[in-house]
Amino acid sequence: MAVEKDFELLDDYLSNRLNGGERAAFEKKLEADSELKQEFKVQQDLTEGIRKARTAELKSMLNNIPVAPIQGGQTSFLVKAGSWVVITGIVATGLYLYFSNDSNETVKEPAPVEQSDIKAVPPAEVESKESEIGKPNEEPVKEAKKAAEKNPVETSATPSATRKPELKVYDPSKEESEAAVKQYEQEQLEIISKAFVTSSMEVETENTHKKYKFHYVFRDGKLVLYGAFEKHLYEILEFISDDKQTVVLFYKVNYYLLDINKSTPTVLTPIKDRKLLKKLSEYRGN
Amino acid sequence: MVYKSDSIMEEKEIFERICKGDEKSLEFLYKKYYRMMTKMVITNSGTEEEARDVYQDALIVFWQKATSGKLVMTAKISTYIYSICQNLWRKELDRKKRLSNEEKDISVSQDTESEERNKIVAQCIEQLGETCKKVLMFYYFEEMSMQDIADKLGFANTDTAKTKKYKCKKKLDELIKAQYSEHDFLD
Repeated sequence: MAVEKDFELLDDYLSNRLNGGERAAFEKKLEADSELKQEFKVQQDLTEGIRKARTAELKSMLNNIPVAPIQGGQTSFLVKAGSWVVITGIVATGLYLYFSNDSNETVKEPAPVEQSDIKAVPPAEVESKESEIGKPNEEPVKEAKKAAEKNPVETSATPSATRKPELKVYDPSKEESEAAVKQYEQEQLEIISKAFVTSSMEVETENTHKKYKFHYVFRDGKLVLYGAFEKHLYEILEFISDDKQTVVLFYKVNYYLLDINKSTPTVLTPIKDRKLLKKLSEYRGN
Repeated sequence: MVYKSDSIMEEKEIFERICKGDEKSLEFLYKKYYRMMTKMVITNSGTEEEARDVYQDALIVFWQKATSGKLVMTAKISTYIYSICQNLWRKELDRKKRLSNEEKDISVSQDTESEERNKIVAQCIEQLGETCKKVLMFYYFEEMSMQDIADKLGFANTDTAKTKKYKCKKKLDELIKAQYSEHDFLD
């Protein structure tokens, strides 16, 4: 007949808390005791039920973690191919219109205003320099300024009558974005302070892109660095804390915060916050 | 050339966190090896859904072994998980093969009773409070020590964890037995 101690042993047996010898002894007892055997069936159902429930809970948790689909590569290739078709189409149309305008010129002698309008179209690609501090909301202003600097002849050639009145625009976004960067860096410091550091991120470098010379992007869970990164050593530091993840790039002498939510190439901006820099230095053992 | 932080340290740290039942580290691993593991199944005539399923199951096996303290890592975490994935996928392919050969020798009546019992147990577990569920799951699935359960659930000490586990188990036991009795599952 089973006693209280046997039920305790049964619990230990089902929760895998007995060693080899104890297990064998208990199994022997189980065979000889029908009451214990009956209880065993119920307790086995109970523990199996709990295990199934926990497995389902963990699977549901894993299912909710966003991951890039494996066959995503094909889609992106199609998108790329599609983009090339569209770009080729636009270029072809542009050339056709340009030359057809030229041919019209000889017949109709169009006003010079129209000609300068065509020339004034800035090149599509504006190269970014390594030293630039990229803030997305500043980009249009900067690019416009650069285009103006790059094409002084074209700009001056534009007749004053066609020029839009120049307005001195106060750009509040500049101050706002500087404050936002500062705040962002301080938030990262908080995460880093209580995080553990790893470096498991898959990294790819690309030095052939015409537009992106010192940029980064997160694509399919992989970090892509644009620029001549093969010339110097670089280091990726990942900080994991609770549900937050911070990624930092160390390159030459600077640290750069990498926003894992960036899905478009973003210029690399050195970290300025002194406390954060100190903390990162400590992590790197400098 | 890339140089990174000490990867052995990283593995050690993640493994230690997993052993303590840190679900965030599990999430981290899931993302880290998703491509590598699912690719193995996909390149071996599996769909992405099957690949995800196998990978999740493998990761849960790894998690269970680690939290129970019965796993001593002698290889990289990825090597370990990869081999579980391979085994699980081989089993699944065998199962599919058997099904296609129509080897269906499962007793239907036995299956129905077993399903019914499973359903009852699942319903009874649902009736427990969240803390009770967690205590029992950590004890029977993760096979955590009372100290780890107390730490994870914020109990004052191991005695509190023990008492809680005892009471929760008793409650579930009573709920199941009452249902089994109604369905004549108790001989």
